[in-house]
Amino acid sequence: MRARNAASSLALMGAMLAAGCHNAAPPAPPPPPMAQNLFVLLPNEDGTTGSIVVTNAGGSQQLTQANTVVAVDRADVAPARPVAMDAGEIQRLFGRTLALIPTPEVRFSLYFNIGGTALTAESLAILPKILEACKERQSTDVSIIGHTDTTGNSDSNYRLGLARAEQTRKMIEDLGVDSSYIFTESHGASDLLVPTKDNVSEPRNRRVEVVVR
Amino acid sequence: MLVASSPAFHALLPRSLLIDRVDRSVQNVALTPTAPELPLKTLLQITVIVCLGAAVGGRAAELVSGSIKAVQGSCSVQRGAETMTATQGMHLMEKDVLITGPDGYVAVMMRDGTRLSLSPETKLTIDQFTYDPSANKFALFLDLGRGVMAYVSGKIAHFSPEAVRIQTPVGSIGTRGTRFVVGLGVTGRAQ
Repeated sequence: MRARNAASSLALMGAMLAAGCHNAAPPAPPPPPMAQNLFVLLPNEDGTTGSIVVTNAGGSQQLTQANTVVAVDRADVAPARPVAMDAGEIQRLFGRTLALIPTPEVRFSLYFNIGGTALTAESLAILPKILEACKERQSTDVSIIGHTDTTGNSDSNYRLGLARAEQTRKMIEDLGVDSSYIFTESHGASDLLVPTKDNVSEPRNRRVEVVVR
Repeated sequence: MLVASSPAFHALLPRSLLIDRVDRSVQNVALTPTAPELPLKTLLQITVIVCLGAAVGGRAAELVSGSIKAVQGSCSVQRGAETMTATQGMHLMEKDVLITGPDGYVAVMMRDGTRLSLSPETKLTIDQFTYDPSANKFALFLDLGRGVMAYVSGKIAHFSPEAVRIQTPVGSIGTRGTRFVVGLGVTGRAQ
């Protein structure tokens, strides 16, 4: 039994060696760069890829392909040309750090009846979802940005936008979100969801945006 | 008001107290009736709003650059001469320095939605952070002194890519809406 195992192991090794000797297959991928400082471009979460430019006193290199890396030895030596980096190597070096990247922020839009700070019925129903997002993310940073349509002058619209944001703050606080986590601001009629001329009553512009980070 | 608005004064106050106080004062003013009334009273109200906005309220959102989303191991935040233990939920400000220990990982969300995570033995300074879409003002300048940072871009990179700059000892990084990781001195380092 033991002898047979040993014999088959030897045979296997022989076969592997033979395969290695006669292997004219494509060359192995280049080893990862040995330099100490690595700048690695990764695919975006939506599958697209952006770009980065690495610049120092010696020169500059742009990365546009996902999973490519530029190595930089020193501040006065130009960055090396981008080369592919094995996904497994990226994972080995940076996997735990990448896994820790936070969940993206989430945005809600709430709409108001004309001229005042009363939420529409549909928007009132969204408030519990905001609370849920705050809890899920353990958020300590919630932005409430008030907007108006283009009826009224810019001063009154600024104030109305802020009043809408403050009214929303109060409702979210009442649900149990700490007031020190909430930041309110007003964009008045300067940031329309639906572009209109002046003095147009547009329900979709009478809104607050809530951003839970 | 000048004293109360100085960074030195803010640094002396606990974060929760500061933000609460600032936001409350704005809220009270903002909820004051603003319907047309006597010119003098209107003028007074506007003055109060402007003063509070400039001296206190307007600074609240400006002061906070982001928040800490997760901490593993030992991590600290240096703010001026003060060193604080990094904790989940802590608000971060411009000029804060994040430092991770030998076992430390930390995750951060900036107020424009930029997301960062740092591995052990990393030092990251928030050199400048401005996120004001209504005034079209943007700046995200980070300084990675050592270690590893993973980065996913946010609104600043979307609105104004040239307003994003990440400095390292061997070069700087400019971005277009992107996800990347920088490792300084990583070769052979198991993580």
